[in-house]
Amino acid sequence: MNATLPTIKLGPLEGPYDLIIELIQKKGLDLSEISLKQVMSDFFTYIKQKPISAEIKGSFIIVASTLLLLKVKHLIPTLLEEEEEEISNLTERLAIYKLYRLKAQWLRSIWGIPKLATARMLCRVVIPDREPIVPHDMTPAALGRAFSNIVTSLPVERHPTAHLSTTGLSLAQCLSFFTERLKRVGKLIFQKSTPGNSVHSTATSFLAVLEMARSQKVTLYQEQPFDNIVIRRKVP
Amino acid sequence: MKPLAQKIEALLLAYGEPMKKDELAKKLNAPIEQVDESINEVQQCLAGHGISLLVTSSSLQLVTSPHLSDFMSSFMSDASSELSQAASETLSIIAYKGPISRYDVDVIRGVDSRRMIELLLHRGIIEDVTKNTRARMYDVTEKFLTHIGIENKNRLPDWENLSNDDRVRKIIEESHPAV
Repeated sequence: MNATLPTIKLGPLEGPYDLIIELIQKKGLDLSEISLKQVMSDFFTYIKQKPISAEIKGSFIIVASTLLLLKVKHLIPTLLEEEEEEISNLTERLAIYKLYRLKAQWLRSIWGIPKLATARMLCRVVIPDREPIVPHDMTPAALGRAFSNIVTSLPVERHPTAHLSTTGLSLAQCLSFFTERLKRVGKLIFQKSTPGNSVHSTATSFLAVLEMARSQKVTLYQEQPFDNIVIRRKVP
Repeated sequence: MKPLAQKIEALLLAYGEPMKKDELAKKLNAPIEQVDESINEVQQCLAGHGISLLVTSSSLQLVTSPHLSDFMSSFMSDASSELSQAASETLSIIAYKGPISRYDVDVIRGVDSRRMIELLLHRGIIEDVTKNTRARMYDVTEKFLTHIGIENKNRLPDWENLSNDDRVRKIIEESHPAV
């Protein structure tokens, strides 16, 4: 492999497909297995020397492994069907990515001022031409008096007479309950494990579980919103 | 123009904002099929006018006509920031293939698109259109269409080729684990 970076200058890249397409285009090649082989060395040099964010590193590793398969293909002519498919799959994916990349470039070039206006869009634009919203004789004292008048004319807030019942398990009791159960079973479903059926016990149990998660005694997992919450004891 | 089409035109003008199709049907107390027919009628009647009807997979809005975009641009301000390459790639895939899941966008781009999708959602250029699927599905909004100056996604360049490309369908199918 080359020890130095490619001599072509590459801007910030969005992923392994972007890198390969960029390398192929800079060399003036068409997308094919042959061109992939020709840019492979530059690809590996680039990823060795340029910092790649953790977010997309995995994608680079997957593509790198497919390119390695391509490299050894001529050494082991009878690759498994699965490996052959992986190579042609990469070429196909790159071809598709290239199409959308072109469209993305077009989108970027036309993006800017909206081409169509909607109702009230121009109202926001012409406001600076209108009379100022604040009267010219407004003083801080006048503003204060006006605001005070608004506040005193607000309706008096009535406090609700209903209150939560204080019967049921306390937070400490719920903490103890979940700690003991998790010691025995290791994993619980929150919705099926709360002591009692009342709103109070569910709320207190939820607070207890949150506190246990906060102090890293448990991990919480929920596949989708409103699904079961799985509580797992954390092994120190 | 038939009465239902007239009512749709009036409601959209008065509303001023994008209106969901099912909300429109509810307000008109009409079945969705009739509403769809009337929407087509409104579109046909507005052909050649200074305003036209913008239609996405879920909503409608009255907008100025694309052929007047040069004229209108002198009154408009550049309210939005540029699109990054990653954002525009993600957006182009969603525009041509939406409704589409994040996983399928990843398959086409070759990288994780989660962050880009969140960004585009935040900017209101795409929306969550999940109905009866487990995976969240995304499609472009009217804001996207007004930005690029078309009333419907099928006016995107190379729409027929890119939206129906068999190779894309095959790659996406192959990437899903067999059930």
